[in-house]
Formats: sequence, structure tokens, C-alpha cells
Amino acid sequence: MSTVNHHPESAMLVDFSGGNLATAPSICVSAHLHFCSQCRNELLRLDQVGSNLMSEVEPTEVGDHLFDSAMSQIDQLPESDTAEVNNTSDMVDSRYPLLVNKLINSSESVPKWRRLSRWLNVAQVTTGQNEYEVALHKICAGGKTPRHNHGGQEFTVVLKGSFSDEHAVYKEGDFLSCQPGDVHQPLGAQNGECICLSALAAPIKLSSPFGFLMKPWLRINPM
Amino acid sequence: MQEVMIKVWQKSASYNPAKASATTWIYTVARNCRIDMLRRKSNTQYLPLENEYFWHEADEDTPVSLMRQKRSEDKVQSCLSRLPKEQGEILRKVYLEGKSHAEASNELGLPLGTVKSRVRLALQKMQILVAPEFRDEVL
Ligand SMILES: [Zn+2]
Repeated sequence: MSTVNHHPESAMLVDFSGGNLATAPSICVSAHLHFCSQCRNELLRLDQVGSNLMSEVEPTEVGDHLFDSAMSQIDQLPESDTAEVNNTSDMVDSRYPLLVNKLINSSESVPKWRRLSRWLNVAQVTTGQNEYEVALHKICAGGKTPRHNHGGQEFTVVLKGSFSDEHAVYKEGDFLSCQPGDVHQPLGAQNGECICLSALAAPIKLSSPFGFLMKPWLRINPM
Repeated sequence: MQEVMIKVWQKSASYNPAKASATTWIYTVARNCRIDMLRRKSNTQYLPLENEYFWHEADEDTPVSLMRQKRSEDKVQSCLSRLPKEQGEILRKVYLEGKSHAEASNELGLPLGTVKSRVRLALQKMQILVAPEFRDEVL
């Protein structure tokens, strides 16, 4: 039984099911699905909508030559590749979604924790797109993060532990969506560190080479 | 198109009739194939990920859940044809034309909120949303 309480809005699942959601938000939705059987079932029903609509479309004749050439390509298919074994980072965790572990292990440069503050570490991962910055965040047990404003849309999935803000407590698998202008102050749970995956839309180009690391927490309003 | 045929062939070994009907399965292969092509075209950098890692197998395959699935498939099918025109129009844009909600809203000149609520109404009719009370959205 799934204990996840915060889910992506249905429009996101529909875009995901239709194959129309950008890569970085798709990574977050996929990570949430790993934890949430409710959304997995919903996705299955959405795929049924897609398949029903697809079967409305008039079939087009496939010419012989197209068929022959597809068959000859099938004949030449290599045996399925054995998964490439990469350097295994100590950041991976067997309870994480496979996709997240793959991201950590196959990033061009091995992700490393960088300290943003006493309570907060960040590790960016490579995802092959530049609309969003995708990173893991680690909030220490009992950690206070700066109260911050969101410059761009941000999606977050809790991978391990929990944190809270003014609105709710977020536990493993919970999905948060912050709109530009939303302000909140995440606090790490007392009983252990919290690790989240997040994708932050990049509305502003920062000139500092390390600016991207600070961006999720850039609008700091010291208390 | 050719690519979809090849993918269907490649993946057919992994098709489990207990988990999804054949048409739903073909739909997912075709969709994933399209995503692969789009990503290959648009990626600015190396993408370390296979598209298949994004998708999860439906986990339940008890007789009860299979019956439930068959029932929801019938429900979807019978409701789709009876949806108001404007709700069906957007679903077709999403599923057949590959438009996101945002792109559909641009194209139709409608506010994003209107597009989202039309889709949501359609999904409610088809009883796709399991527990809307959990969703943090205003209906
Ligand atoms: Zn969910």
C-alpha cells in the first residue's frame, strides 16, 4: 500500500502518458511513479486512452518495400546490449528508482556533493537537456534551509527521509511542484537526512560558472 | 513508422498479456519510440538514459486487478466516443498530435487552465482519476 500523499497534478501525468512532457519533469514524474502505485495505475488508464485514440486513426497502407526494409533491419539487430557497467557512485541507493541510480552512475562527470550551507548539499546530474537543472539535494537531519523564492518552476521528489515546510510534511515518494513566486522554507526532519531529486526550470542565465549550483536557493532572505 | 515496427518486434519478448492489452502495449511502444526520436533530434548534450528506464511495469496482475483493468478499458472506450467535442479535441491533440497541455492551449488560443479543466472533466467521466481528493488542485 502506497503511503505517498503528494502527487503530480493530473495534467502532468496526461502529458507524460502522451509522451509530451519534457525530459527533466519526466524524470521527476518517473521517480514518483516508482513510489506511487496509485499514479502507476492512473498512468495505465491514461495509456488506455492513448491506445483507444490511436486505434481511431485510419490505418495507412505499408508498402512492400517498407516492410521488407524493416524486416531486414530486424534481421540485423544486434543481440540486446548488456548493460554497460559504470563506475558505481556511493550516492546510489537500492531503494531509489532505477532511473535515478542510472542518472547518478552515467552522468558525464561523477556527481559530487557540494556544500551550499551548513545544512544543505547539492549534486548536479547530467540529463542531456538544458531547460532544467536536475540535481540531488541533501538536507541534514534537523537542517534549516534558507527561506527562498522560486525564480522558475521547480519539481521535487523525496527519495529518502522527509522534510517539511509551512504547508506540509513530505515523505519518501512525495511530489512537490513549486511555481515561480512560491516562497517556502524546507526544514529537514529531526530523525535523519533527507535526499530529494529536483528539476528547476532555468529562467535566468547566470554568468558565474558555479551560479547554477546556487540557483535553487538563490533568493535568500536571511532570517 | 518503420522504427515502430522494429521496436514492436524487439520488445515483443517482453510483452506480458497478463499486464496490458495488446493495443495498449503497442501504444506505449509507439509513444516511447516517438520520444526516442524527438530526444535524439533535440538533445544538446549526451543523454545518459535509455527511455525505457522512465517507465514502470504495471505491478498488479491478480485476477481481480485484471478484471478491473478490463473494466476500465471498456469504460474508457465507451466514454471516449461520447465526450463533448471540445474535450475530445484536446485529448486528440495530446495523444495523436503530440501536443502538451501548454502547446494545445497556445494552438487553440485558450487559457491553460481551461485546457487543463477540459481534460480533467474528460478523465473524470472515464473514471481515470482514482482519488482526486488527494490532488492539490481546484476542481
Ligand atoms: Zn502518485
